[in-house]
Order: sequence, then C-alpha cells, then structure tokens
Amino acid sequence: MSPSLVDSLGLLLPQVPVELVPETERQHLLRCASSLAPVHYCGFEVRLGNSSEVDLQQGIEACDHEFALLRRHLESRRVRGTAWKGLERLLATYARPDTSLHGGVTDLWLEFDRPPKAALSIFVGFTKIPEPAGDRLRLARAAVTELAADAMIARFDGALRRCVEACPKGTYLSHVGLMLGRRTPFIRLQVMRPEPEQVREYLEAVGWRHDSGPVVELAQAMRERAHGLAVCLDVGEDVGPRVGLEALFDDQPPNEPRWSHLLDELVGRAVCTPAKRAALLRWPGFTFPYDVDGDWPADLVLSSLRRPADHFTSFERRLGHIKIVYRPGGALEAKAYFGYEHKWLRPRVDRDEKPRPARRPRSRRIERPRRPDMSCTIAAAAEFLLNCRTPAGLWRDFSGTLSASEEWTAMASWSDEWVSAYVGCALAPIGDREALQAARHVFSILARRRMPVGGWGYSRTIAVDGDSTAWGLRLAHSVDMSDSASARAAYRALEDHRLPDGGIATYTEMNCPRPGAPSQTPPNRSYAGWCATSHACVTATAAGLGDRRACDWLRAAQRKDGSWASHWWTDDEYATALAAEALAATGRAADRVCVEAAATWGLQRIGADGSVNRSAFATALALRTLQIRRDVPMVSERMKAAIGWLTRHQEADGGWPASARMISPRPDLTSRNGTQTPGMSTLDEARTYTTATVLTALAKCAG
Amino acid sequence: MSLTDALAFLRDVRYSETIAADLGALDDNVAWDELRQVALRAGVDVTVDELARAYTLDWQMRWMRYQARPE
Repeated sequence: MSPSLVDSLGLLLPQVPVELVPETERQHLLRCASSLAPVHYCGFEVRLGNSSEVDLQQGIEACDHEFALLRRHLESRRVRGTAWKGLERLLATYARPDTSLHGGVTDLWLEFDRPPKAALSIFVGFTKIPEPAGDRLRLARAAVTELAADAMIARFDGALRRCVEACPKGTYLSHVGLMLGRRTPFIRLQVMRPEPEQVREYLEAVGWRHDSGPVVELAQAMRERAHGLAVCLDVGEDVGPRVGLEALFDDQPPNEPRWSHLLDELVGRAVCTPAKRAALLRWPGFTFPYDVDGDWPADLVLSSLRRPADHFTSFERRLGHIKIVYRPGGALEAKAYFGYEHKWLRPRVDRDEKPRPARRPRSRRIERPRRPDMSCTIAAAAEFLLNCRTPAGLWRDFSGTLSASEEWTAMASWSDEWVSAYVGCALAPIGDREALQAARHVFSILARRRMPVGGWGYSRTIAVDGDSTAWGLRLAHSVDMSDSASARAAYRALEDHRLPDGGIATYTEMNCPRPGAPSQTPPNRSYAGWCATSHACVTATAAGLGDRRACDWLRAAQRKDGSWASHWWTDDEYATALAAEALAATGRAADRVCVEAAATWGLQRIGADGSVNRSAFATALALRTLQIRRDVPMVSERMKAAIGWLTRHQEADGGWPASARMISPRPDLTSRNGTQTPGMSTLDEARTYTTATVLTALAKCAG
Repeated sequence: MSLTDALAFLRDVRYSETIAADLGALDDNVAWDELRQVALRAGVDVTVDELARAYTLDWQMRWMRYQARPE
C-alpha cells in the first residue's frame, strides 16, 4: 500500500477522545485518509453540541516541497472530479515561478465533509499580512479561476470584489475556500483580525442584509476571551446570510487559559457540551514513536535518518480555533477545529553536535610557548580544526545554539557541505600533510553527494546554492580536483546562479527555499534578495576562481569607501577581503586601484588594540585585505598589530572565540545597507568558521 | 538477524556515507520495505518489524542522550 495520510492518522486517531470523534466515524475517516497524500498535517472539525458529525481536513504548506508531493500524489492517483482537477490546475500554476500564485499562496486545506459522503472543499491560504486590496483580489481571483474555471469566477466576482475591497484597515483576506461539494457551490472567505466594531463596519460594507447587532455582540464576547477574531462569509452571486466568527489563540491550553474561558462561555450558552469542552482541553500535547501502536510513518523515519541525531520526529497535537456560526433567525452553532501536525523537536542545548575530538590533543598545544611564533599558532589552529571533524570527516557549524535568534534555534540546522568546503579551503594550502589529507577527504565526500546534479548547498537537505558551490569549487582547486566530474558538474551548477549583471545569486529561482519562519516570510512575496540579486559576499567567492564576469561585477559594486557589502554576514570585512583578493589576482593595473581602496578601508577598520571590534573573524578578514598591500609600511605596521591581537586571543585548544555572525536576511531584501534588517542570525558555535578564517589570514601573512 | 542488528544499522546510518547516499537516493515518499532494502544492501538482514521496533528504541535512546524536550 502506498504511503498516505492514514499512516499517521491510524496512529493518532486512537488518542482522539471519543467525545470528539465517536467510534462510529473512525473507519470513515481512515478510509478517506488512505487516499490522501502522506502530508502529516491533519485536522478535525467537530460540532460542540450533540451532533456527532466530523469533517476531516488535511493541511499542505507551500514550504518543504509539500505542494510538489501533493502534485505527484494526485498524478499517480489519476484523480477525477471537478474539485480534484481544479486542485491539479492550481498546483501546476503554483509551480511556475512567474505566476502570482507562486509567491502568494502559503497553504492549502482539503476538507472532506462528513466522510463517507466526503464532499471535497478546497481552501487556499495567502500570505498572512495585509496588502493592497487590489493585489489580494488578483490573487483570490487567480486561485478561484484555477480551482473552479472561468464560469464560476464570473458568477462570484462582484461579491468577491466587494468583500476583498471592504476589508477594514489592518485586516486581510487570509483564505478563500471553494465549497464545490455543496448543493449550490459558493466561495468562503476568511478575513483575519477584525475588531468587533470592524465586524459591523465590514458586514455593512459588503452588503450583508441583516441586523449586524447580534453578530457584533457575539464578536465582543469572543474577543474578550481570545487573542483575535476572523470572520467567515459565504459568497455566491451575493453575500450569504451565514456568518462564521472564529476565535484565534496564540498558545495552547493550559498555557493559554482563555481557551477554557471561551469554552465555559459556550457551555453556558448551551452550544457546547461539558464533555466536549473537557475533551478538547485534554487534546494538546506531543505524540512520540513509543506512544503509539503501529509503525511510525516510513517517510518520517527516512527524513529522520537523513537528519542529525538530535532531530526528533514527533506529532504535535494542537487545538486550532473555535468557530461560532450565526444564522439570522437561527440557533448558534459552535465548532472546534483541532488536529495534529508533524514537528521536528530539537534539544535546547546541542551538546553532542559540538564536534568531539577525533583523537587526543597533542602535548605541543598545551606546551605552546608564551610568545609563540606564527608557525606554532597556525599549527595549533590546524590541529583544532582537524579535531573538530565529525566521525565521517566533515565539519559542522551554525547549529543555532550560540547567540542565535530564536527562529534559528527553532527552525534552522547546522551546515556541513558549505562549512566543510570552507574549512577544507583553509586547511589545504598551509603545507601540513595531515591538513591536506583532511581537505582531500572532505572533497571526496562532497564529490559524491550531489551527483549527477552537481553543486553543493548549506547542508545535504537544503537546495544547491551559488555560495556553497563556489566554495566547493575552491576546495576542488585546492586539492587538485578541479577537473573531476563533480567539479565540472559544479561549474555548470554555479553558472545556473549567474545573473544578467554577471554576478552570482545565492539561489536559483527554481530551487529557492521557502522557509516558514516569520522573519523569512517576505511581505511582498518576493524572493528577489535570495535569487535575483548578486551579492558581493557570494560573487567574490566565485571571482576567486578566476571568474572574469564575477570580477567585472565586483569592480562595479565596490563602494566609495573601498569596501564591498556583505549580505549574509554582519561584517563587511568578509566580502571586502574576498573581493580584494580576487581582484588582486587578476594582475590588472586598474584592479590595483580597487585593491588599494580596499586596503585603505581595512586600515581604518582595525582599532588601536589591533582588532576590529574585538572580533577574531572580522580582524582576520581585515588582515587578509591588508596583506595584499603589505609592501606599504603603514599597512605592515597595522598588520603586526592585528596578528598580535589574534595570537593573544587564540584559545588553549587552538581555536578562536566564535565571532562569525551569519545572517539570513528576509528574502525580499536585496540590500542590507549596513543597517539592522529583518532576518535571523547565529554565531558559529563550533568555532570552525572563525578559526578557519583566522588560519587562512595567518597562513597568507606567513606565506 | 535480530533487533540488535537493526539497532546497529540505525547507528551506522549516521556515520556511513555509503548508507547515507543510499538513503539519499530514495524517493521521499517511501515505504517501510524500501528502508529494509537499504539495510539489506548494507549487509543487515532484518525484517520490517525489527527495523520499526529498532527505530522506536533508537528514538528513545537518542532522546535520553540529548535530553530533548519541546521548545
């Protein structure tokens, strides 16, 4: 049997209280889930009164390739029916980067009304921020057109337009649902975050032909017991009489007591049974592999085996929201939405991912002379890096466990491919046999990883990017493997990242990741900063390979003060050092001017103590820029100060304190302009990136 | 073969580039028997049931080791 949602539902359903999903409904839900894609994000819609009806929902998010998985699933099942075909059209359009749906759709919900009847409704979610009504209307129309074809959009368009354009300030259309299985098909619109008074204003503006007083009174009662509201309207040729009010919460019970306060209110209004209230409050929590009878879904096990050992597959059981349905002249109906989704858990402290020494430290490090010469400092740094390797021989860093933004800690993981290529580049040229062997070994691992596609990424599970690929190629040059099949494939992959201006984009548009973290969600749906903009910190790495067009781009991108801007780093010293080195290598007279300007900038960056802001990373990079013009006496003096500072701050194990702060700027931002920008960041907690950077600087100075 | 062999295989997965490459070549949309085939190719003859039980044990042991808890 092929993998499906039932692989997880079969494990979780026994944990659902029978008060919410009676035994009589369970086989129907399982049968329905067995035909759905193995995307383990499942919801139940239950009536809080005496009705035992249950609707099944499946959520699919635009990130993590879930849309592609759903598309493949639909193709393999050769689905029939208007709704399924509409969904196939929507997914096909979404897959095209030039469409508004590609950037604007964030999630889909498939809802099956009361299996086994199981009429399918499809909800399309948009970016969760307010945007101009015209833009959101275009998006909603595009979604409805794909799902239901032109005839239906023509019938609904007037009311749809009214409802989107009337959204009060601060609110926005969050989802549009096509209820195709209903006797008379209609669209359901969900408008997020109105305050109670705005509900009145909104209903009047959209032409709702009933007394809004009771709805506003209900909205006020709910708002007092929730973090926010959403309004749901049914739209056909006109706005329907039914109004759904949803109570939204930022946290789960028992952390958020307002869940129980609202449910108490509903019990008091006799629209919720006490048993269902209690059952709902019991639901939140986690389900682990040892909690269930049955095999954990194989796709999640595979994903787990591809991840680091400290990533734990689990299901989080959550309450979604409470909805109260108001029908003029009718009784109130309360519903609860709850379910589970797959979640990766990480330990708070990433203890064991700190690389363990592969061998005992040598005594020479401990017995380092008080005033070591440069060769001793370099040898200790190399030994530190050799000791940091994983058992397989790679380097890992940027786990998000040291001075990281919360989102990095929660959502990002370490890098091995990119970090290994960078560290290998630092070790290969220092003239140590063991260091060269380690660099060759790591290239041999990287060479096997992505073939036949070519190129490298942040880590195995993340798409190929221009920067990692350029570092991988630099490593290939360092170990005399630049003519290998993997290097040739990587050159082709690097070229895929070339932009018309000659620079290198970090990602291609097709492979651009779409992380779910709020700070990584572009408000305008643009990923231009990640895949349509050349950045000096990436292009300079490629320029170091002798890339002529990258050098051209760097000449044009140098700032008046002689520096280049780092997009992915807090320190512009990074881009400036790499760019200056690449241009110095051309031997052109015009480039000498660029390099001198960079050196002048570097001189100003090093303070009286010999450091750049007491950062080993920035100091080493400034030193690399200066050493190109070491023939100038003033430069030479400042270099001595920087080398002295770095030597004094080498730690007993040969490494330097972590100071390489990587930033992941919001994807739409094409420039950081040296200011604080939205994004997430972290330091290299394993100290490999900082140490490799210092090692390279000192080796260049010693050479 | 036994549960012990299945556990050893799961440990090796994280250290062996060969097994990692084999896993990397699988379609994300995988069934348990395909995971078992990876074990067989690595020279570990286990049943799906042993592999599934070993995975649960491996999860628990890693959990204890890393003292993980929900953020």
